[in-house]
Amino acid sequence: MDTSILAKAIVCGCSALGAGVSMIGGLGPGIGEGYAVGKALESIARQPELKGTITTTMFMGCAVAETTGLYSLIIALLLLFVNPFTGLF
Amino acid sequence: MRHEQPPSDIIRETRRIAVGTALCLGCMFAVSALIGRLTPAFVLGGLVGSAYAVLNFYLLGRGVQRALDSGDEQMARSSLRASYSMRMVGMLIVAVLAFVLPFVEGIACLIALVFPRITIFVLQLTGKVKT
Repeated sequence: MDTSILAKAIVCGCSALGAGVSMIGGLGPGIGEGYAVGKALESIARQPELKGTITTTMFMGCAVAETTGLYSLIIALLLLFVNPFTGLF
Repeated sequence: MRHEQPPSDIIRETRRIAVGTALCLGCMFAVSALIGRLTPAFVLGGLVGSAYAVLNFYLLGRGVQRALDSGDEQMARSSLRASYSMRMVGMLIVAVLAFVLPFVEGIACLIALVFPRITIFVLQLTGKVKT
């Protein structure tokens, strides 16, 4: 068997595995956002007059937290569609 | 069918993010034109990516608002997690389509998805937003 084909197959397999592993990073923001909204609800219950401020701050914070998931998605897609390692063999 | 009016806070923040995203998109097009890689596919990819990024931000705002209006902590958590999952799936579909379709540049779409984060970072630096 041609070693370059074998090497390419190993690289493709590892890349697919890496894409899957990188998507583990997508779990964090979901858990974090859920936790944040719980705390925001507690704050609103304590100070209802600050609901607008809490909502805006929380929603910007959620957008920042979500970036981690977006980065992992980008890395997974790069590994699947624009794999830089397959060109090595 | 119930029609809810989106709160003005969400509209205002989304407008700011949309303006920032448009500026980032302009910068990306300028840089790609300078290096000679500005193709129609690249432009379309950038437009699709930034449009979905702004839509994602708006949907996030609606999701947060709905979660906070629910009042119940457990319900709010589940609601926001469901919203996050749905938006992530939507983003995955848009990005995969951008890579699969020949007339859209996938890389431009992926870069454009990060523009709202860059906008928030700039707003934080200028002190216009606190997180």
